[in-house]
Amino acid sequence: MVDHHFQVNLRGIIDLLSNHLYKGPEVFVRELLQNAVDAIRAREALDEEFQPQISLELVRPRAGKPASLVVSENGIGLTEDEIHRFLATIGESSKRGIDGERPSDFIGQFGIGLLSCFMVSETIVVVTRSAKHNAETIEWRGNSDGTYTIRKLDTDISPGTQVYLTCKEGGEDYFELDRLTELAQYYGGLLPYPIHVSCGKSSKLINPEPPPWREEFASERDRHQALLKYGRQVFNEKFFDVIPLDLANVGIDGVAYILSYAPTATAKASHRIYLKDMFLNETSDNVLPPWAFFVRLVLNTRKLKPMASREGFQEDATLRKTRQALGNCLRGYLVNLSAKDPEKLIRLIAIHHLTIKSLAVADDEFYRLVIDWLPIETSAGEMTVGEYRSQHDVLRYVTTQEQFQQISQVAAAQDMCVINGCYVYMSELLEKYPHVFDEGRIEQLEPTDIIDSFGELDEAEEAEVADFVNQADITLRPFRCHAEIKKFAPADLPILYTLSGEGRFFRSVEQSKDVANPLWSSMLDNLTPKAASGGPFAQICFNFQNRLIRRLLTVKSRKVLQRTIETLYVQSLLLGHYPLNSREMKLLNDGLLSMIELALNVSEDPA
Amino acid sequence: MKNDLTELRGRINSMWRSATRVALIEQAILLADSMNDIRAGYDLRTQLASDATFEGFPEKVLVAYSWNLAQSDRDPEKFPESNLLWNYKWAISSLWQFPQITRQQLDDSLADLTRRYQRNGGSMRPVYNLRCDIATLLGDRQAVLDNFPLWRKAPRDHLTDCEACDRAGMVSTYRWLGQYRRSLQVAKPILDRTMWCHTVPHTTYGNVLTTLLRVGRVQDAAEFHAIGYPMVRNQLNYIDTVGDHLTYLVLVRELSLALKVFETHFRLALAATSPLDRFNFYLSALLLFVVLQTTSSKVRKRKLRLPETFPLWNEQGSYEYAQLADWLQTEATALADQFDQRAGNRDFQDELDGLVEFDAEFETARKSA
Repeated sequence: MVDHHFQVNLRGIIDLLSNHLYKGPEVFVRELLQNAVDAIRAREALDEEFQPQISLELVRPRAGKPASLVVSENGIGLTEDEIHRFLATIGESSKRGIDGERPSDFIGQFGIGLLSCFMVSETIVVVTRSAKHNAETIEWRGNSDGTYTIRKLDTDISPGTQVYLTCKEGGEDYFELDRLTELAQYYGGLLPYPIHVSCGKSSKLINPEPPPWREEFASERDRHQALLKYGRQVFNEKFFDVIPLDLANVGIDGVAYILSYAPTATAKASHRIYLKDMFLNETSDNVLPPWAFFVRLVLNTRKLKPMASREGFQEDATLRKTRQALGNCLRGYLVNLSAKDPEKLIRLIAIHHLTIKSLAVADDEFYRLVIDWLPIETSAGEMTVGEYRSQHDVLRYVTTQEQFQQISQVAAAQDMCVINGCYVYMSELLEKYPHVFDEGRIEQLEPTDIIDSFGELDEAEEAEVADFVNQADITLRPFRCHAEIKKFAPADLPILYTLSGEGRFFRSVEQSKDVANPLWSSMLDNLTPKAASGGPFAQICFNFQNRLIRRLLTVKSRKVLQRTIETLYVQSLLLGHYPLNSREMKLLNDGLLSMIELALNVSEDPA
Repeated sequence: MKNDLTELRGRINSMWRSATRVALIEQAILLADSMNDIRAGYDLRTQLASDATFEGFPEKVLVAYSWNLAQSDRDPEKFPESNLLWNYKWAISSLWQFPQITRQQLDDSLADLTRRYQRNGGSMRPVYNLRCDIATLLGDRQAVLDNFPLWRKAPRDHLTDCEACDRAGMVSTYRWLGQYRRSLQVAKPILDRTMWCHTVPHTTYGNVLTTLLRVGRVQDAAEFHAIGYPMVRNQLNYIDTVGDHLTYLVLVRELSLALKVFETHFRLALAATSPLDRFNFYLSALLLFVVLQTTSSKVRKRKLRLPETFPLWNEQGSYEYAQLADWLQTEATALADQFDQRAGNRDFQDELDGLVEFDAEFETARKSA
């Protein structure tokens, strides 16, 4: 028996693994199970008849001795040569760091897998006998300080490998039956080889059945129920529906569950991703197309390559193909629903409208399919796009809430129905409309467009209002507002304030210029020469059909007229749900006070 | 009203970044201002500057940032200068997109940024980076040659762009200098996907296409177009990268696909507030219609779904290539004039004038495809 040393710093590697690569010490269970699976698959290749077995046997702590664990399997086992090879791999890895590719061969993987055990055990003992011809039973004993021994044993075990771990301080959690069983279930639940977890007399087969999507059922309904039940067990929540994923051509099997609520932007997707039947991680959401944030996956892949950290898949051609296949599958489900159960689709759209809209933006065919069902807010109330289309040739819309509020005041009376496009994806969906439907017409409105459609005054009426409009212009100049007077419905609306997109921008530039330093002020000026020149960027339209306005036309006192126009200006902002700046606030207060004074005095002051 | 603001901010925070979120933030700013809530106005403008940078509204970045800068200068204890340093980089990148911002103003802003970085002990790497970027825009080759090595050598710290963005910038600069192979070499980790961030490799895939064609890597160019175009499709802030893909498709004579890209993105380009973005897209589109006229002798027009905001929009939807080329030429020339006036040279106009020659440079690549 000879004492040997590892080539380089083993402690460093363990530190690297536990702090930077592996999520936590518990992954040693996954690594040992993976080694077992690899060994069994290798033996299956040699011997079709053999019955694979994996067992985890826990020995409780007693009389000063810590707990211990034996993980054994009857896979292909290792020869002495192969033991030396995995040691070389460990040495190699310690030089490179666990940075690059994991070794793809069985022996290489075995070594890396074993390393993880040092997170919970100071010593690892491997007793192994190769299933190949004339093999001896070998014991390898490795310590976390880098020393190891190899010897041949006198008594033979049957072919396979046993790994003995002894609980080290801090690892007690993992040497408890409940926890161990849970971990074995978590990582190995899908494996097709029986895994027994035992402690003393009690023993449990943790994977008695294959997952429900790999089972046969009496009816489609039974299958559906079983899948939903499985989803409840795995994720601890009730799902809206389940979609079996049977994509053999990209090496995928599993299920997708549709959430029964819309996840928020900040919620992290949590799936169960398996690689070749072994649990990989909960987070590989790059396997789904970006619009598919309304599903939770239990998915097994045979073809995708994990990243070194195993927290996601490598972004390569296979992943792209897989992503596309999954997208098609989900899309197919939605298409199917529209034909077989439209009511259910409507319910789904109500919950997941963001996903549906996002998909419609990305996909023409899907757009055609769902567009008529999508709910929209219009100046005439809530309706679906289908209902709007049946009543109007052109989809008219505005893109911000304030524009919508401005326009809503008059749209109905103008016999116009305007869509509120301020919601996420709405404007993209609307812009796409003419691209998807040949005859499709859209019209993005500015509130100022509405004014253009108002009734003009005739010559006599123009003469009547000339003074008033002039006075209004002068009064409103400090507010960068231009005055007009037209005829429009509803007659009880005295005044309409509209701000174009450009005007809105100018207003924000003013806010900044108020405080900015000279350099930035001059740059902002350069950006907005029109605004800098002092011209107006908002419009006030007085309503010639309104009684109050008609009354105002007869007022002679300049002072009263000014005060009234100022107050009406502020009122128009309020009607359009515009927040007032401090000057406008002051105007409101002063205006109200003046009005009260005037009312109390009863008589008008001469100008 | 305070409740309204809180509710609005809650809504904003639960949303993914989008043009809609930008509009909501602007609404919230109006509310905050009307309530004289400077703190809220500041925080919201920080959000706006960020959103507007990545959604393609450079003018909004400037309006928001200048206000924040002013508040910080007024009350540096409440609004520490150090918090503004990162965004200042974005502000400068937004500034140069507008030709109305003079050379002097660009220099002054960069000088101001430099002073503040120095005051706060920041590395000068971003300064050299920005100097290079401005120099490439103004066609000042010597300034690029002077500042580029300084950029590469300067230390990295918490204020320098992430490695991926930094590298992406270098890929661009090497390309501008005509050092094509070096550009591709530097691009390698990005193209291999071993290095990335949330905007890289989106822009890089577009950036390397003509370079790949130049060195004969025709297959690679096709692959990176296939992967890269879906990443930037239909997004306003990537309209210039879309232009890269459009140019590529024209150069390799995939003219039907090129027309589709043009048709899909023309609305966005028309509405883009960045004159630089508009120029770049119009340039690519002009190349398309110039080539279409020379290659298809029989077909002179085409049915296209163009936005109603297009001055030449007609209800039949049929447009002549020559007509579109003329319109694009006029618009691009007007923009080129503004940029050239600022730079004091003819670089932009030369680019416009040299389209046919540019196309001819890729004859070899076309033959080997």
